[in-house]
Amino acid sequence: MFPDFPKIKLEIQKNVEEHLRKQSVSDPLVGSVTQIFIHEGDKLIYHTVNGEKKETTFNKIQSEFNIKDEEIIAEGAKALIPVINEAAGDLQNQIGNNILAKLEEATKETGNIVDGEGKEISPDLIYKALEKMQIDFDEEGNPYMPTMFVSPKMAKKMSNKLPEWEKDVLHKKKIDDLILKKKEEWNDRESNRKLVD
Amino acid sequence: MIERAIENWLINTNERSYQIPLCQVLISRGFEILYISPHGQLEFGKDIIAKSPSGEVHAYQLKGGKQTLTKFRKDMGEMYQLIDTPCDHPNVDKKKPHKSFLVANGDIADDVFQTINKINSTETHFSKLETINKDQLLKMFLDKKGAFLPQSFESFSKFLELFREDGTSNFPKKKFFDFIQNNILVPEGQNSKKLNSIFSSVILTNTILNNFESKDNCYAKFETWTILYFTLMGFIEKEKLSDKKIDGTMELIRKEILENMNKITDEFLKKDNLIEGTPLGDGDLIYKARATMILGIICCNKTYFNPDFDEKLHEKIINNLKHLWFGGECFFPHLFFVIKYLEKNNLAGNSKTMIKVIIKTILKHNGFRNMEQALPSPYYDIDTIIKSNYSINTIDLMQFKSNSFILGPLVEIAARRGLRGFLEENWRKISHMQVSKFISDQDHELFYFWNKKGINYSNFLKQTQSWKELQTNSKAKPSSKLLIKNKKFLPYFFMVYPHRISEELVNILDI
Repeated sequence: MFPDFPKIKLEIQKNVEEHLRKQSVSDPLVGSVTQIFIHEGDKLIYHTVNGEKKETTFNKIQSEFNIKDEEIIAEGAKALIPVINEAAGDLQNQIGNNILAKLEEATKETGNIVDGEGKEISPDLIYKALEKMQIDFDEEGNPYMPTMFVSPKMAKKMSNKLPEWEKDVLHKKKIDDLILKKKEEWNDRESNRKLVD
Repeated sequence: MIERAIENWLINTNERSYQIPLCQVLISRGFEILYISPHGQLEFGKDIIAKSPSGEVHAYQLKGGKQTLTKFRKDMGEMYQLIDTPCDHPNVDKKKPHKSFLVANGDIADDVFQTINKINSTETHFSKLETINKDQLLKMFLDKKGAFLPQSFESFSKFLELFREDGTSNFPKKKFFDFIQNNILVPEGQNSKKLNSIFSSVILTNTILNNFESKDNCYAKFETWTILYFTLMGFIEKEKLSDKKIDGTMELIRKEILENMNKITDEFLKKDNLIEGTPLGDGDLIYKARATMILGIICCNKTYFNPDFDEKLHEKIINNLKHLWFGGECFFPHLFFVIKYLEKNNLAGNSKTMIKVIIKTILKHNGFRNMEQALPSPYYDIDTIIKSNYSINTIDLMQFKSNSFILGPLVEIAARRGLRGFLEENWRKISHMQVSKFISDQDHELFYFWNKKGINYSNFLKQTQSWKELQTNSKAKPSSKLLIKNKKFLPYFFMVYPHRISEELVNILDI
């Protein structure tokens, strides 16, 4: 064989793999979900906040990429970046789709769905969605407001409309009242968390 | 290939290093080991006393290197003790002569043989002296192992990788477990084959530990023998093996584990501080990690195995408590044993404070919305945690938020000690955390360091929890037959397998 540099190459490979991992979770939706490394075993059993027992196994996700020898020769590890990014995007889509499928499954189970009936997003629709959600508060009583995931097109539309919505005093009052109600619900929930006789 | 490696090891090692393999060979020949000298100190000239299947008592004096006449004459006092003093053991008839053996891992010179012959034929002694030299010793080791040593190059390469560890670092536990489980233990065929693979694993482990032995890295040796012990225990359970020779082997390993614990205790007493190796780069977290490991193992030893009170040792333990570090959940077993030691020595106030601090630290760092960096799960060993803290290979700490492997057992520890007020104060935060554990697919697999199959289980503790129920649960009788059967030796297990933590395991160790 020709002289090789396996240890150095292994380090480069590790960096590439780490880049791939980071890229594949760079999407806000995927990135917002905590990743837990499972070290052994083939099953997960967990309980939801509501005490419901869930059992799951692992799904395999994979992506392929090809690179020509000439590109590797000319640029080395740098040549991998575009293809790795492409593969990471593919993996990210698969993870994202898995998350959305799980969300859909969970919301179907609980009936926690707001049907927009094809209408444009509006303060009313957001209000209805918030109404269905459980909101937590910090020690100072500030709400942890939920994160909304929308397409880039929708995000643009919403940011254009935001100044207009913010001027809507009636809507603002409705949201404030809802937060107060959510705070009371949270207080009730928290007061159940105790040690009794 | 491994045969050559063993030969090379045997020629170059000292007498202490081949003591365990020799015992293992004797066990596999049906001998009962009655005595092994601790720390290599001779007891009336005897390193090993063993009883043969026919009831003969054999005493062995072990020597390192070539035995020249000068060397032999120098050690004659020890040799006369070997042949003249009866074996002092309750199971030995002191009036009946024993067989004495001078064992060397080098050649025995001709003039030494002549001198021995002369002693045997012209002098009157309690027993006669026989010899075992390097070639005979090697034959004994390889006879027992040759037939079932791994022959593939892959196995040899794995063996070599472990054998070439420099002996100063911690031992690569998972790699060692994989090697023993996948390359040595034979799950198929006749029971005799399975037994031989068990015996072989002891000799190979001893060989692999050569560099650790020469550096006297007792902590690494303690961990390695513990992994071997429980891997074998899992294998024996799985294969439903039962044999007197296996009992002898397991006892031999336990002695070695305990011997290393004792040596760590002695070293701790002798040294002024806990710096090890080059001081450059030592200190801070490295020092704290070492202090936690050392105090944990010493407290474990003094609580469960050698409970005699030693004032000097006690004072040193107390003075070093300030260095304890809870850098991740894998540190918990060490802290647990310190807690147990303090309680045993009437310092329950301090131990209760420690319990509260550990629980509060978990809630503060691993609480979901908290900004503090979470503590890694017990799957992350001390080396990995130190590296991450020094930004050498960082761990993604976000994954541990809202989760803990040790919180469930800790809550029960607190409940058993009646810390109701403290738990009441913190229950809201406790009930927000997920408590996790690993449940092995088969019972015996609990003792394996890693399993392909099994459940990663997590749940929330009850939001509204009855104190009475919590107390009852925390004192519940354990149900795992495997854990109950091995109760006496679980302290070793917990120290080396922190990722196997469960309420039940801690309950057994705590009550």
